[in-house]
Amino acid sequence: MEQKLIAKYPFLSFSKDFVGEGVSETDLKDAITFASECFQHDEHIARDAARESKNLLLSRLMLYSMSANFLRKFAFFKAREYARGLEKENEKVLFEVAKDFFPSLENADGGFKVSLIDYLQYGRSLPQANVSKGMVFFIGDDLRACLREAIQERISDSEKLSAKLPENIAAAALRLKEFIPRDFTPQFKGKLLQRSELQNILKGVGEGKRYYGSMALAIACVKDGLTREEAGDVMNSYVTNCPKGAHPFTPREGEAVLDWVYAHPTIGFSFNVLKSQGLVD
Amino acid sequence: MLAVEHAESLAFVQEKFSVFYANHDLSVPDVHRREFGFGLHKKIDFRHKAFRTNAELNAYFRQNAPLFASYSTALYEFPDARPMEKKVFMGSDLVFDIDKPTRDFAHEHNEIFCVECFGRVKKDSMKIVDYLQDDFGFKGVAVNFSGNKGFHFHLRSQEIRGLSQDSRRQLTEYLTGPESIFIAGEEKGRDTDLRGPSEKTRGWGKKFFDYAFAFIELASVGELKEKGLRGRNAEEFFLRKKGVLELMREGKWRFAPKKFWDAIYAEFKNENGVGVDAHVTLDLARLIRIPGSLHGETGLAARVVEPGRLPEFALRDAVVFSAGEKTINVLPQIDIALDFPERLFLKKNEPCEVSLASGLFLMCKGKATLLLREKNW
Repeated sequence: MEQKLIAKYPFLSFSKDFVGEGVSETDLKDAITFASECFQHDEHIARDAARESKNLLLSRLMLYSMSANFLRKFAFFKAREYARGLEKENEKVLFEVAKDFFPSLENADGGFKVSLIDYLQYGRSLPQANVSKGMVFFIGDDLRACLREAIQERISDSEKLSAKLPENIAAAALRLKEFIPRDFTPQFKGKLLQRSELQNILKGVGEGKRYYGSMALAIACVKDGLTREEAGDVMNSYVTNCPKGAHPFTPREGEAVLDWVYAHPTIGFSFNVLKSQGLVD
Repeated sequence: MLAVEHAESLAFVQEKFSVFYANHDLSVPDVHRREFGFGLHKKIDFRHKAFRTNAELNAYFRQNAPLFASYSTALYEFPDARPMEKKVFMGSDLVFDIDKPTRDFAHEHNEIFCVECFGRVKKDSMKIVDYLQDDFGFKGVAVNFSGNKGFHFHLRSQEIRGLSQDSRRQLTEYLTGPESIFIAGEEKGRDTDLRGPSEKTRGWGKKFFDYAFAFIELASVGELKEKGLRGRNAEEFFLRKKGVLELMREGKWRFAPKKFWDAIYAEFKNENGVGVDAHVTLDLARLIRIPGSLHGETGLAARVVEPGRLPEFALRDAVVFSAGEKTINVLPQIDIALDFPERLFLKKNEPCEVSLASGLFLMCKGKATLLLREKNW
């Protein structure tokens, strides 16, 4: 069961046990294919636990050595792919995967509960959460949504990654670079998103305006008829493009804005509001 | 800005602080892991100090009697190392700071020290304790009066010290409350399937559910109209109240327009949300007043308060110098009207006798200078 699970979800923490030692030319070729499939949005057919674990780790290393931005994009796409897989899983598998992120996870009241401390690390917006006595309660759909963001965060976590790679991996990274798109900005043919004002916001705005920028984009997405998932792609681009400032505008904040706007689809869009918020001239 | 500019006043204040520290020991948890900052003229004149024990720290206080004393919320392997990166960060206490009322309110504000504002801050602080203990389930909440306008809340458990900035921001945002609590499935401006908290919801949702449920249960037609339901809508709603309440239990709020519920929610949030200084909570390298130390802008002690005793805490509990007999002479720098430490009405440049506590308070605030020290000296 464990091997099968790791083959499908190699981001799980016990995948470390399957990576093995040494990096062969075949390993590098496989990892390049693995990462490039992700950027080209080609379907990836999972193989065994060892191969998938190694592919994921090598991809992260190579991408981070080139740019943290490449790693973040990869994490976003890959997390979406794994989250789709999780949607088809039964509750037992979902529970097992989730437990890796939320060690305190338990079944409760027909749903789940986790400790607040666990939730703070990988959960979604706390003010909206069902919090009581240090526990956060949620249903299966919420858990899946949390997991997508948690997987993204774990894959993009660069704390233990080194930008300096052994020669063979560095050379492979250069080969991988050819498969990485030059521009990640999602192209959607919506009336609003195509406007130059929104395109400029999408390039990122400074601290103090980042929340307003995210609201503007989220409303534009909903008005343009983008699905929630497509909107997630737009928001991810925006979050990545925003300068860090004193503290970064996080993917969680961007997702919380999308959640709110998609729950209130009749909210109006106004260029005058953008002006008053200093987002456009 | 200098707190006490006048040299003689400064020397007097420092002398009094010194007497206090000679008789009072401070106790800082994990003292050897913290960076300390001290000030005589401003909150932090210098930092990067470290002490191996509380005894060393207390000896420093006795010798130097600083007007301002702060420690790092962060713990470091080498707390006196500089620059900051060399300290080696080991985690940070979670701290909340409230020093002004969350909401404006009509009152005659005292620019020097506003007792009414402090009363509001205390009420908000009690709410913070409830959120920390009841919602977040935090044990070991340590509360102290800041020594000036508000309160500090410290959480020091190992798991809390590992929280990221983003997690800390989530906690401060929870105290303020969510922007909205409803999910509308609107069609052409009509609320066809308005969903909201149910009887089983927890957190802010549950608090609001209880509030709204109680309101609807007791509301008259007039009160429903006041909240925005018009004419026959209000009457119909009133007649179908029992059914409405049953649907609310299931999280269905469609029997009134969203803006009606939004108005009730806004009122609820206004009463229950608390605004803390997010910078203090998010800054992992913050220096914050040492609990128990004196505040150089007031001469008051940053008293530790049992969370359960917060309702009884009064400003006079933080007064450590004699507040009864008028023993010193001061020269007010401006016209002064005070309710605390005692009721005073002083005229600019008219010498007057005040108690030691009030004299120190005014000198620390920079509103008076020392003319004549205690009569008995």
